[in-house]
Amino acid sequence: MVPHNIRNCIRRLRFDQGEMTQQALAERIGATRQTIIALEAGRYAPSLNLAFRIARAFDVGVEDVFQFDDEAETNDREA
Amino acid sequence: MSRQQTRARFNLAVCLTAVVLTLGLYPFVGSPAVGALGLMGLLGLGPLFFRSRPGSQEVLWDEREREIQLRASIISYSIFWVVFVAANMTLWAVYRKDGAVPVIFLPIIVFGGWLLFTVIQSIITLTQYRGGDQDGAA
Repeated sequence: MVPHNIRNCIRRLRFDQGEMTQQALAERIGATRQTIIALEAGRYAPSLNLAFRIARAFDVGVEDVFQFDDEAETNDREA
Repeated sequence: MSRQQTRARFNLAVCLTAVVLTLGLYPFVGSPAVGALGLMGLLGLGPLFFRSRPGSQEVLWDEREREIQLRASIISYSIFWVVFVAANMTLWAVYRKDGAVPVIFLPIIVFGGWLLFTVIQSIITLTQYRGGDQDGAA
């Protein structure tokens, strides 16, 4: 449940979109506000479905929201 | 705080009250005090926490909630099952020569198992939410 290798910029995108609140984003994508908090804190990796809904809410691509951290992945494998 | 957190706290409060009441009554009324565990029937009110207000767009349950609930249920069920089987085998080992297990153990086994499952499930649920409301709020 704690993803080390997926980062996101949801917080920045929210503020770029007229300081959208976590609650507003949550309602738009059909999630709870707690999930948005967990996502922004990097404690939760969403399903593909939710990732696409988040990207759609900001009108950007999925990779504009979520980035795969190759370095962290390599470190995880070596550990 | 999510509705699931509220329900987990409610469940813990009900279980704690039932146990305290049972242990508190036992010195005065003896084995009938076990009937106080029936208070756990209040756990059936849990779904009421997931009622949405009329006209509200608030999402009460999503994929992360399901994941948390599933993990909590799997862990608590596993622990419950081991303890439940161990308790029943212990009773069998102790009372097999008598040919019958005292009837007082029936509610203790049923409610005790349910109590164990609910308490572990609630604690694991709350643990998984830890810190979720404190940081990043905006």
